Amino acid sequence: MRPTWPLLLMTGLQGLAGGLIITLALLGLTLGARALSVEAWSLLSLTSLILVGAGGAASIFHMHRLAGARFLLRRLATSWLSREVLTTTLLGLATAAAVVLPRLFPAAAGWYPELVGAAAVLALIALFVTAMIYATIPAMLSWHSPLTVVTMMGTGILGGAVWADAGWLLAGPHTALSSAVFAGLLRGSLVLWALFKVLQFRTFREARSRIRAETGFGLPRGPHRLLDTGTTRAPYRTQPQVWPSIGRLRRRLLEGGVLALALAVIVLVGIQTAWAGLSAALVATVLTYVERWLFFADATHSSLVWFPAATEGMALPRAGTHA
Amino acid sequence: MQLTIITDLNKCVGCKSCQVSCKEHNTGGAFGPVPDHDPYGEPDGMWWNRIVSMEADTYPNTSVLYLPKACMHCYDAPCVPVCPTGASFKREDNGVVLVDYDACIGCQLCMWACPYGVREFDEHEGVVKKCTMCIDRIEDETLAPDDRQPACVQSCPTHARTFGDLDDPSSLVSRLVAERQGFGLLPELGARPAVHYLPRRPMPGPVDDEAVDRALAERY
Repeated sequence: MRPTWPLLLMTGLQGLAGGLIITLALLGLTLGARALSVEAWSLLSLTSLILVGAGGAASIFHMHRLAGARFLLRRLATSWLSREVLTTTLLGLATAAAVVLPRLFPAAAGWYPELVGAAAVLALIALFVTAMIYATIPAMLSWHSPLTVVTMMGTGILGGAVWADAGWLLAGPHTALSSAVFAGLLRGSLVLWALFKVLQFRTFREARSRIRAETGFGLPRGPHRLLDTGTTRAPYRTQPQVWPSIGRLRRRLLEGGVLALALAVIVLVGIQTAWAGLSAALVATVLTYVERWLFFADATHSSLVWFPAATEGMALPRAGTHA
Repeated sequence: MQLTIITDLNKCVGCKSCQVSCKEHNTGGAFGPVPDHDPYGEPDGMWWNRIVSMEADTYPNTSVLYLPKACMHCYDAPCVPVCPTGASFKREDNGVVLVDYDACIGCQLCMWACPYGVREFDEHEGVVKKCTMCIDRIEDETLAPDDRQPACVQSCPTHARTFGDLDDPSSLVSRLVAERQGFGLLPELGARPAVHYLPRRPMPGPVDDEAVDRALAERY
């Protein structure tokens, strides 16, 4: 699958924004408004708004024909993408309310936990809806699994939580005990996420093994061997699901890289200093990008059985063509 | 009603006339153009119908098989419910899956959802295009009745392709599918394709010289 930059930014930034707002809401729920200073609430809510806004801006570049955008909410009954437009817009509005209302009405500064809580509920829904876009496509053999929902939501929520942790360490005030408890929970969740990610790597491998010309066409009297895919030659420009195989070694390196970055975040979160928190946020952002790139670039689509030359670099004889 | 095209894999000789006639008709037709970057050089662009050539079975029983692959106009078309704008839709009156270019935003989610990889993205117009089963021909009452069929069906020199209503049990396509065990591609993905293929008949096994001599000796 072609990993286009608007897709990476859209899903990655929406995840970070949602994760940040969900973590803030959890802090407010457990420790109350005093968990953070007013400045910290304000700064972190604003960061979340900027992230979700940037993700929304990237989504504009994902559309190749803006004139049709007025119909985007037409298929709410069936289309997860249509629902994503609605839920992410609501998330943006709720986050904006959490940023703007306390500024307009200084007396509302104590409402941060409630305002952020409302945005967090919408963030959870938005992250779930976005993950379901990918998990509910049977033809995307790599993604058609509950693991897609778990890892995609996990990447966003934990990435945002690392950002919140950095903000918390920078802005305070907080008690050492609650900060350590939060860091412990975050590290445990990151380990769990890494385990789910390993399971997902395995699912991707299994999906690749299903694409075999010998048996994969659904035709009787096999085995079959593809001689010619039709007149169009690789790289099949009009087929976004056709993307050159990233290769065994590169895949292993990237998978190892994702786990190594997760380990680095786990270590940095444990240090509990402002600079370590900032470094953890930076590494978590890189991790989000690499994980998401691999998620798209390594995905296997059922139609690749017809286009093996593009994915495996095979040179096929071009029967019946003039070249 | 569910309009469909049935391809007899015994009759298809892989001449690609259906592929070319599809491109020709739809480049000039109401749903075109079907673009190429270099239309007078290498045809590297959009094809709504591709003829896949493959070798079937193992030596000494090998044979070459040609498989025309276009939109399957599935009963449970997975490309339709995923479309956020309703641009992808399935006609209730005849089951043909179409794209409304005016509502398409070019997000290409339908291309991911299609199990067969038969949807194509038009980079020039920013919309997704696909086989329309030549809806502009089959509903054109100014054409003679014999011409109201898809270009690929009409151009097939061996009559390998048959067009008709799969939901009508008395139609030729329904009888062909029922009598000759017509099958759809990738059934495990649950799209229930309307387009069916008639399987190749088994070839007689290879006969060596000894068997020929023995048959001749028995006869003469």
